[in-house]
Amino acid sequence: MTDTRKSPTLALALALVALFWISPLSWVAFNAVDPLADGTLRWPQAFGLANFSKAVAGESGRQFLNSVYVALLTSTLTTVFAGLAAYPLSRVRIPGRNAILWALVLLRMLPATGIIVPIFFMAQSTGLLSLTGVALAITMINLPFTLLLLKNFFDTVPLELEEAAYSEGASLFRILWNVVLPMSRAGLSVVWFFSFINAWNEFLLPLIFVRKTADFPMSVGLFNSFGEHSSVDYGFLAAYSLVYALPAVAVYFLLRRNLSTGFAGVGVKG
Amino acid sequence: MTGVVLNDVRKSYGDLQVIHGIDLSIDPGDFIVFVGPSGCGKSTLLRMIAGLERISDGTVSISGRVVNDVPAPDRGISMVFQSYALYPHMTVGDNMAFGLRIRRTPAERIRETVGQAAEALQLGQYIDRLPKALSGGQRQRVAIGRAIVREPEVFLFDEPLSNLDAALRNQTRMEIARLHREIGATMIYVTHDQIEALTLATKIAVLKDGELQQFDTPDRVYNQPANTFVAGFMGAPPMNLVAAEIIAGDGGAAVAVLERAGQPPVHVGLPASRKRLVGRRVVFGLRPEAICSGPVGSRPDHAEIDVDIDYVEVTGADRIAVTNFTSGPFYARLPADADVHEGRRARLNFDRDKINVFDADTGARIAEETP
Repeated sequence: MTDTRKSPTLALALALVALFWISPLSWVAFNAVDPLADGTLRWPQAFGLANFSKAVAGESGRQFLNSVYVALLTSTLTTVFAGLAAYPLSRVRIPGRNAILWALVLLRMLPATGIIVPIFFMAQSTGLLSLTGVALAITMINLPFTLLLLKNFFDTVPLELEEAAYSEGASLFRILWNVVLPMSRAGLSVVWFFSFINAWNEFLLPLIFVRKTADFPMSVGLFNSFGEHSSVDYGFLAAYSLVYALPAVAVYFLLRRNLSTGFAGVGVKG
Repeated sequence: MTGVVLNDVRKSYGDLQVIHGIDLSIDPGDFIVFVGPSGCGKSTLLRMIAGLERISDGTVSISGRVVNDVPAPDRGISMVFQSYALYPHMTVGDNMAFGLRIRRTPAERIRETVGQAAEALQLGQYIDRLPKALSGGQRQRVAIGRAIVREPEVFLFDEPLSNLDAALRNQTRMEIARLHREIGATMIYVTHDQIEALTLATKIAVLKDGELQQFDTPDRVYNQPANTFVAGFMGAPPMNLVAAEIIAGDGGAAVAVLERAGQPPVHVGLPASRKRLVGRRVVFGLRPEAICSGPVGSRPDHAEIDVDIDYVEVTGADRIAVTNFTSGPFYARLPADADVHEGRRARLNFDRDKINVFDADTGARIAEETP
């Protein structure tokens, strides 16, 4: 593509594509700031933040906190467990290590929905039909992929660095804390943010695990709001959707910052 | 001051033995270089002394204490790795202070020790930089600084210069030699570079296939190699090795019949100290620099040979003539003004007293007889 001249046809085509992409977003944005929103895509008739105050107050606010709870617990548990399991898989010559790794790949490929029934019964019999249970279940489903990912990151930390730390007197914990983990920061952040978003977006598990509307996370709350009132409150739904989408955007920027400060591979050799 | 003693040290991986019983006694303050081709086990041996590799059999003692079961940090050693192994997320200062912090050295003392080491290694102005902001040579000095601050009894170096370019390698080599002079600690250094071995070592251990070939001063390793392997490995170009049969000449003197490819053999009379070799098949060893150009002239100790010059390599200070004297290359290191030219015939001579003789079957050096 060496021709950089502006062609009107091309510009028109691009504008159409852009419009197509942006229309659902603008629908949400216009309706959210319009207290008189009726669900059609139109320029706001009035401007106000009433929809937003409804979307963050009362039960909706609670649902936001529920989502935060599930997402934080899931991402933290996933990062800790995946890290603890991935390190030995990366360093120790465990018999059948390859079989374990391939089994993880297979587990990753299976649809999580396929095991929803046994997971439900497990949670029921252990009294975990709660948000904590949801977080544990998502952690479990996340682990195969995050474990593989972290193992690959740990693999890039040169063994000589650990040997150097060991011969300087560092304990295994110290080596992990001061050498391996800081050098795998990019990997750890990917895992943390990936599982955060996964848990934030998760719909099916909380839907079948949680019964009370006050315990719903936002994903289920949004779904529930459709039939909540006799007529659908589109302004509220749009504002609620925006609040719901916000953390994903925030996480995207945080992730970008953390990825660019990854250290893997620097400092060894000349 | 600490000595290191290896007693019948062996290393096996399953059924595969890679170190076959090595005995070495390293005196306090010595600078020992382990040298050998790739896969000879020199790095493995170093890692066994460092405590990074289990010792399958035999014992390693440091300061008279058997350390086989002593963990690496308690052996009183510091290791400098081939890749430097600097912690990339820590500054130069933190890299050097890491070991001291683990040992809970008071912060004031750490600052002082690290500051001194950094000054001594000309790293003072880089103390707050990350390793990635340093050049290869500076990184190498940080790695050495990290070893120094722990004040170890024994320094271990695993091919520390192999990632540097030639000029920097020479400079860092001299710095390491100076460091040894100043600190006086025992140092063990692994390299495959024989120049590093010859210039740095007080004693060289030549290894091949997990066996010790020779453990001696650089001078003796170079001039009196223990066997044909050491003779061929040390020196560039290597020692010329020629198969020969020793016969009795006039008056019972030993005469070597040097075998030549496709040409009549050459007879070389040997000094009186070689009389007892008569009747044996041997390998003749002659350093390229023991060879001079031109006829013998007034030097009765010298012997003369005529050769065809295949190739002349000009290195600046000298000319390396590759000749057809044997089937393989036969090198002569001649002065830059020597009258040798490619494709011409030339007369060369060499000092008969500088001949090394090895047994044809075992390859072991046959010492001269003392009158």
